[in-house]
Amino acid sequence: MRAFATLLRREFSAYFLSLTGYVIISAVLLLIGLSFLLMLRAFNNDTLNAPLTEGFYSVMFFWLILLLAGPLITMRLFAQEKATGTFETLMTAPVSDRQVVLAKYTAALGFYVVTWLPLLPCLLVVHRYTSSGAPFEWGPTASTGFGILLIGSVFVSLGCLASALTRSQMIAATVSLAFGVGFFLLSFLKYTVTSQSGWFARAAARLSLIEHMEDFARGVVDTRPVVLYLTLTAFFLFLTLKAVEGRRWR
Amino acid sequence: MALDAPQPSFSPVHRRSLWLNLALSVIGLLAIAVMVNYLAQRHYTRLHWTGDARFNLSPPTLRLLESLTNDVQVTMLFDRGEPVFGAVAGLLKEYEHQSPRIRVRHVDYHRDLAGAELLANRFNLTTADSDLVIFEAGGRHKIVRASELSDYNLSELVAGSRQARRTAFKGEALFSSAIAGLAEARTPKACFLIGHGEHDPASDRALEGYRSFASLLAQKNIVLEPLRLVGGAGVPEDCQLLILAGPQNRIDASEVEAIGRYLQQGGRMLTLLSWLRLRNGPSGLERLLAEWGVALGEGYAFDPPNARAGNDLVITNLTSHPSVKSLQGQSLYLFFPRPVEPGPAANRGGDAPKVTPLFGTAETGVVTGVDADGTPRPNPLRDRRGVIPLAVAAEKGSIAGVIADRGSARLVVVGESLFLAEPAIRSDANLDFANLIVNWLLDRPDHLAGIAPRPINEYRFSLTVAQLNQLRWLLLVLFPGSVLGIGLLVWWRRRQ
Repeated sequence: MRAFATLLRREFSAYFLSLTGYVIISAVLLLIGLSFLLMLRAFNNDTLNAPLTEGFYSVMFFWLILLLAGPLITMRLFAQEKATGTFETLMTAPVSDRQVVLAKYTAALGFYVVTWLPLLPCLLVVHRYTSSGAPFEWGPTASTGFGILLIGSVFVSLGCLASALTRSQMIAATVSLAFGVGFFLLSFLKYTVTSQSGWFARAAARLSLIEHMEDFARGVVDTRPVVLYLTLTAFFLFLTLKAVEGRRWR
Repeated sequence: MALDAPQPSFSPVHRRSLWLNLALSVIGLLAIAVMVNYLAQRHYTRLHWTGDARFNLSPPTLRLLESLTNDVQVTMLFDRGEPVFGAVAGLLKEYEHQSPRIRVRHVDYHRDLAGAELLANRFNLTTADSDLVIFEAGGRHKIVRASELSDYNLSELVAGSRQARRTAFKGEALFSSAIAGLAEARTPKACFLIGHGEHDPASDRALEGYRSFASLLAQKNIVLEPLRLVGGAGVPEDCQLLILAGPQNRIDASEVEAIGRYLQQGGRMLTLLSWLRLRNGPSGLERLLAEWGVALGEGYAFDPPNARAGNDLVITNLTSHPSVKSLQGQSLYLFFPRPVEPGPAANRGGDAPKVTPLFGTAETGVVTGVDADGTPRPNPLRDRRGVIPLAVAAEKGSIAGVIADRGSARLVVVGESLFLAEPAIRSDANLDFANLIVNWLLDRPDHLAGIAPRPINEYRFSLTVAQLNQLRWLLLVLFPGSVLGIGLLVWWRRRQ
């Protein structure tokens, strides 16, 4: 456990000791700010029947952050260590492969959460300017955050796997992004099979990230996507562990 | 072979077995993940983290969805920009999640012109028919339009506002009724007796119109038809409920006879007799009601400790009769009610009608006498005091030798009719009372019990250009810039 904590601290602090971490947070803040401004401009002097946060997921920048943050945060995890040669040093230290994978994943997920934290001050600023009728509710805001965390946990674990498979950060980020975008595009499969019935149409509907986020934004937490995201995360982490273990087989 | 060439750690056979082991463990984990998700799809919960639980389905809707045996295709022909789109889509999604029989699809007539055209041809929609929801099952369909889905506060419009404020969303009541209507084999018919100055079911005039009551019946998939009994016409055979709502003139003897025949054949009747509308005159029904064990009292009841503004009356004394049991603890709001109570012919066993009071005044109730012109003349010595029954339910089983093709006859008599007119029907639990009474009369205890409209929360904001500029600086420059500044500082210090 101590080794895990030490590794976690090392990985997490690495984000804040380089400029990259701040650039990522700054870029996310810019995109969140842009999303809010677009929504405020669109609905200014208008009456909404739903909280402002309910429409947040439908702004393009939201998905841009969700899809880009994972690859950018995780690309260096294993690939950079392999490229600089510190990976072998790490693996010969008295820590298990599982501890290494979990520490790197937890640190990356922790940083992912940190990148989204500025959403709260942004909400409070918007609230401050629109205090006559609060444009959001805490319940749906919390469930939106929960949805962001769940989807992020999948993308981060996917990024861990991509980074563990290569020594090039660029390739890791590209592979991770490609799979992330592919998963996102599955959301649109639902619209092509909407008139059909049967298991395929149902499965397509159940895999829709957009639909899941729509629920979370409305304050509805469905256990089905929760289980889906948790199992996907566990699956990708298992593959990452096997990829890390695989170095010994050569 | 060069000595510095890397040597494999494992033999080819061992390495193959490692890869096989990896492949099997991946397949095994994948299988477990699929099984877990399969189970999660079958046993799931949807938690609502909203303060107003606007997407929670009510128990009657849940019961209805559980009882569905046929597939129902729901098509939303809606523009995404329509104000109620989110509420409609969210609610229908809950229906879909709740029942595998419900399939929902959305056609945006701005984006999918061909789909919208197909629907227009199939359901004979006109160009004015935009933003609606079509429910289809077994070759039948019902349409709910966006204009029906909201209640509005028109006072702001009157006060000069550009648009009326939406106050409540009636989606669940309308959607559930539409589904229930498609699930029902036949639609019950209610006959609304006219020709004696009854309330008008098409009007929303204060204390006259019965539009909300008619809407309630429509929501319950009951077809309401006007009925004239003049000229010896009888009550139609397919009439499941006869409604007599606040006649102002005496009902003719031949008409009373037709009503009597209808009741003898196991008819169901809701009788609302207003003292104020009849100006203390006879309704013509007194004898018939007496035969059915119902006695109409003289004068009107009042109860000063339970009045809000004079001669109105807040009723909290509801009995435990099955029809109104669920209203206990709630109140009704009435005006000048006349006493209605079990008469001498009631509850005598055998074939005698079983008559039960539904509600009455509190112990402080008083029935005062009136002059010939209707002016109340209180007399502390003669006036009746105590609990005054104001409504009764009468039931009578099949009579020997009489074919009661509708089962047992049922009758509800209330000594007031204004309480179900506009806008009083929306006061207290008046609408719920109407709903429950109709359910009892039609023997539909589990039918959708008046699903209340959900209040709409409005989120309004108005930012000036200066405020928008300030926000732009804050959100696009100050926040990201300060984080970037900290990053540059860390980077610079580490370089030092």
